[in-house]
Amino acid sequence: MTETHRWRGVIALSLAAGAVGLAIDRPSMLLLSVIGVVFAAYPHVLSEPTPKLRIERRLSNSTPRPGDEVTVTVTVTNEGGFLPDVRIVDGVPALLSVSVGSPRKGAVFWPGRSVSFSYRVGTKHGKHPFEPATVVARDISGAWEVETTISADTELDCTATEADGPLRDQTLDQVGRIVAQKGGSGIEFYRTREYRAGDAMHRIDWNRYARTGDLTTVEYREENAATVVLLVDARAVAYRAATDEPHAVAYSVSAAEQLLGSLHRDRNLVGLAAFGREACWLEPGAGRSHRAKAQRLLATHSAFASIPPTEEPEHEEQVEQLRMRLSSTTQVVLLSPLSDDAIVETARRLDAYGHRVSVISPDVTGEESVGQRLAGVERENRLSALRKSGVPVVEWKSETPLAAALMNRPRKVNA
Amino acid sequence: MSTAIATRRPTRLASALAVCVALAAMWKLNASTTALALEAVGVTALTGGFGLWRRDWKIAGALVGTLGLAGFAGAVGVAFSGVVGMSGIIRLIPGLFGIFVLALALVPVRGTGSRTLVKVGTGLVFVAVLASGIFNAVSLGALLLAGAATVVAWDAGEHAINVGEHLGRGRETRETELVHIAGTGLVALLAVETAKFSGGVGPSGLSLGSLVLLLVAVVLLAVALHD
Repeated sequence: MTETHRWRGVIALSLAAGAVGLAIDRPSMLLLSVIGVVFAAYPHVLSEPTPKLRIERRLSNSTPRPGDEVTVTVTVTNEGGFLPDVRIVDGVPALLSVSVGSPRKGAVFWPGRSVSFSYRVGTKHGKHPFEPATVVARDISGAWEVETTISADTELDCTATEADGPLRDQTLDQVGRIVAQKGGSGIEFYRTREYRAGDAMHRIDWNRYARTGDLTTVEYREENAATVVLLVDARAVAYRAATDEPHAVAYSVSAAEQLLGSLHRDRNLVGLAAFGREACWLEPGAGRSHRAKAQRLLATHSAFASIPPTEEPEHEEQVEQLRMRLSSTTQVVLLSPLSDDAIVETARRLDAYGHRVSVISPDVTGEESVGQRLAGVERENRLSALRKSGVPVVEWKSETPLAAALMNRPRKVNA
Repeated sequence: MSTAIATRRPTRLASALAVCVALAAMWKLNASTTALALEAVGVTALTGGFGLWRRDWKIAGALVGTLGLAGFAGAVGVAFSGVVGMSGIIRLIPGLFGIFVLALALVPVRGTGSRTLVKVGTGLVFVAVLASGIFNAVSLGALLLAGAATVVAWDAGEHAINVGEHLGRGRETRETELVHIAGTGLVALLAVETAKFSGGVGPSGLSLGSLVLLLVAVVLLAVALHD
């Protein structure tokens, strides 16, 4: 609670009136100063407001497509006593902008009153949790002010429909089905080779034996489930954005979400990790509950918050920590805007340690200013440096669906 | 898609009430009705002019704004011609200027409203109240009402700026503004009655000096309460 001291001036007025009255011997002026005294006492007969409010948010569509407009209806209910002056500012997600109406409302709350207001937001790609609403309650004189927040878990999920349509199955399958380059037992034909003693009878190509008299063995492509860790670059430098767009971390998280779905569907073991304010780590695993856990982490873990971290641990340390956790056969899919050289170095190092690294890089560089163009060129250089050292990089422009970007990628991720 | 930007300017209702209450205070001090009407027209035209200017109707805005200034000049002119003697000028001219300054603060001319200009404006109106008291120009009741109205005008102006900063100029704030100003208005009436009452029952034998001492004591008490 704070005191606004807004009524201080009336005491000065009282003193002025009183002084003039004294100087020129006018009782009426002294009475004028009584008015000032009454106003000075006014705030002190009132008690400070104690807001007890509950907030509910309704979205007209909680899983819109990017670019859609969503109507947010906010209902605030008073569960305490009379509040003569309440100002509410709803916590619109940082990346969304209000297009129609206002997320602000002033209201008088008598006990039990509910006040509703609504506004429209334009949606952008990514998951957008609402921040708590800020509430300022004042008493009727305006001398006492209480500022507090009320929260309700509301989230606008604008990722699900991004890679819809025929593209998605086709292309995400490419990333998902990670096939082994060695023959063995499977169902897809791989090659035939000369018979070696001990080969199973049913694997011998009897047709060829009948034709040529040579014993050959048919080998099938061995299908291994891969172990993949989706690594999101959420360091402060990754919170870059082109003007009026979601930042790169929002894109990375949404890409991780989509990859998670497709990799899980193809029965790969998928884990989750992040560089950022806090190490996020989810052991690779499979199954529905593991997937749900991963999705929950992506939505709620503080490493993926929508505001850049103010301080973060040493990057080297985090890389080392991650390396200890990765098992030797684990692949890494790094999601990063490649906004500095350290992350390129990290990708190379992980690759050198034997973890197959592939990079998906959302492009958030702009063309508007010299600085932006320079950043774009630097990013291009980093991309080619990575490609030169054998790390496949998928460039993802924000206007194209991830699926389309993956279709154009230079080469397959191999086990 | 146009993005709605919150306009953190003083709210309309409280601003209009502040100016109206200040005009009422001047009316209580026997300012000429013509002058006040011209002043009201001037302030309205000025507001309209700024509104048009902001909507990029620059020429129309400038014309209407000039009309506002002309209205204000007319008000001052009428006030000058109507009053007799120096005392009338000292009593009424600061008040008319004060209302104009208050309007400039709340329109607002630039930025998100100016608390200082609100203080200066209502302060000038209060100078008019003090002058009227000094020259014994109006009845005690009118003087007290005008003094209380000055405080209400200042409060409404400050409230308009402060709500505007929090919530912006929109339709969403009317009820809190009305309730707040109604509260202040009630206290103002109560204060006037208290002042009249204490004037009536005051110990007539008490000298002015001791009355002042009493009053200073009360004011100091109020100051102590505030800190």
